[in-house]
Amino acid sequence: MAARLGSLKSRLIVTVIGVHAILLPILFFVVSDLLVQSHRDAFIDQVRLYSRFLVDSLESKSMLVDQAEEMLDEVMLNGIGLYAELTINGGTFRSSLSVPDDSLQFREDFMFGDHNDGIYFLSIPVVMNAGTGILKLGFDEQPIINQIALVRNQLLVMLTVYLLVVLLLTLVFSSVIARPIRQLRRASQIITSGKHDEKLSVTSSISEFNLFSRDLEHMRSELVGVNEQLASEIALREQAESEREQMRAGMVRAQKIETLGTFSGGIAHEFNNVLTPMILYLDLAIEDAADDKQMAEDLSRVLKLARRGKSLVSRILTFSHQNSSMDVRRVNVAVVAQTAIDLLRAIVPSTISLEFKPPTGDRLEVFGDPEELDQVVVNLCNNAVLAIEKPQGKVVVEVEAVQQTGLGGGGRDNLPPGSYVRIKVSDDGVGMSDEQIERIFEPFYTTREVGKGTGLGLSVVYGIVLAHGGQINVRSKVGEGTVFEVYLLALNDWTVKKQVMNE
Amino acid sequence: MNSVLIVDDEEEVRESVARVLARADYEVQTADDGDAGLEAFRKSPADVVITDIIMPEMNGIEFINALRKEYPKVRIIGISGGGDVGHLSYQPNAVSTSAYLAAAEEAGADIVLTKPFEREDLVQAVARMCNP
Repeated sequence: MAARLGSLKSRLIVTVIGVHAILLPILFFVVSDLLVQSHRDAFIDQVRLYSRFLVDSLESKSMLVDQAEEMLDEVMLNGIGLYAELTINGGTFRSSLSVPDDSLQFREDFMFGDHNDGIYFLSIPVVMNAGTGILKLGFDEQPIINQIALVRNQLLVMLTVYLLVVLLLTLVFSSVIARPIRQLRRASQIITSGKHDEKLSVTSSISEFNLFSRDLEHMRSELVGVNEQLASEIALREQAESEREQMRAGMVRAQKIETLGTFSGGIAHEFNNVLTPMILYLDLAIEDAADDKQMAEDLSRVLKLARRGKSLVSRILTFSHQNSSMDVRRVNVAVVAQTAIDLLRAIVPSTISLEFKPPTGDRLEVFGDPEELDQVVVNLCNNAVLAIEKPQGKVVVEVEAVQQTGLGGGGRDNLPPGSYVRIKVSDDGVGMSDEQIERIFEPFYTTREVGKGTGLGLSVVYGIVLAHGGQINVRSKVGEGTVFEVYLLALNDWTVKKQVMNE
Repeated sequence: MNSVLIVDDEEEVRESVARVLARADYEVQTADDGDAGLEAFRKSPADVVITDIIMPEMNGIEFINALRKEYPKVRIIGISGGGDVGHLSYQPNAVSTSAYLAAAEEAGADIVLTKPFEREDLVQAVARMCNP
């Protein structure tokens, strides 16, 4: 991480240095050249001006040659003059302040620094009263040379300082850029690692980073949104799957019982067609055996047995929900349940509380057989009470008017939409496993020990519920308890209800 | 003498009922399904008709309807096997056998007996039909 940003930093620095390495020397030389040139030019101008002034003075009418010498001395005294000589009429006047001859060789300069002698020589013709002569002057170049050197140094220093400042600014700038980049990187790493919850915000004075950070945050929240959507889709699908599974289980269960029912129903039907003639013939035979007491007695025993067969068949028919002896009328389910529970309370052990929750809704009537519905409540309560094996327990019975939109369950088809009366019996007993739930309505299926129940109770309930055109649902978890729900189609006749209420 | 027509697809049911009624001094005819029953009745009308409710071919209720249409005053006893109305109990809100029996009554059966019935119940029912 540091290495990569180091490359940003070092790249910036290298670039800056590189650029300056080319530009600064060029700048330096160009600028110093200009400075040098202007200094030199200024010097020469100044020198020539002075020389001109000197010449003008010499050429003034009143100037005598003797005075000229004084003038020459003045040149020397001015400071920058190092050499002054006037040659006129064959004679040479040199300032006594001149630097000694030997070291000075007059060589005319045209440019500053010519002949490298440190002196700028020039000669000018002079026209005086006394005649025409040549004025030779020499000026000290050294101060200018020093000045130039100084200026050059100053320039160098300035440029160096400038370079350093630039480098410093580059470092600062690279940090300014590096920080938000590092933050953004850290943020995107957090997201990659799976922690999508933290909001992401990187602030920087640079708008591009702020925008980038905002975009990244957008992506993150979209990712979260997509994840949530996926999660909820999966949850919905799983729920739908489990509902379908429940429905399938219900249908399988119904199919089994239906087969069993049809089977026993079919046999029962045949049996009745066997028993009917049997009983009639036996009756006739007994009459025919009036003289033979023994035969009459034997036959009447057989007749008794045939009648037992009749009652057996009717019991089989009961649980194969094909009982023909239903007495159908309008029944208030809540009243039936209340009556049943009031009686049951007397026999249920006191350690188990049998609670009847007051019914809600008013459409609590169905078209059915009150005795059979009473049987349903009794059997379900009995089953619930027997399921409680701990010392204290609770069985709750509820009767409610409900609207159904369609659910799977114990019936062959989906419960069609409509108004129903629901009888709900719940217990906090031992509960049932999925395998037990599968078989609970099967005739003779029981999870209890021999002697504690015939295993017919719930199959009877199933038969009665189906005969009433209803459905029965069961939910249970081992160790937590069981809930049975019986749905009976409600009697949606308001006038009927009013009549019943007035009775 | 009063006559009785017995319609049932089971031979022994027909035979045993016939014998019981014969001993009670009724004139007895039998038929094994609705069509045969109608034909027999047309040929020789009976005072009472005993018919099974569910039979193959023309079922009992159809037979009762048809008979009533032709002979509004005929007396009919319906006999039901209990297991007869199997498929009907799966109709949502069909209150199954009871409704079926109610329907049978509506169709015109005056009495309904459930199999297996006692000799005495049979004889008394027929007697009641003959002497309303």
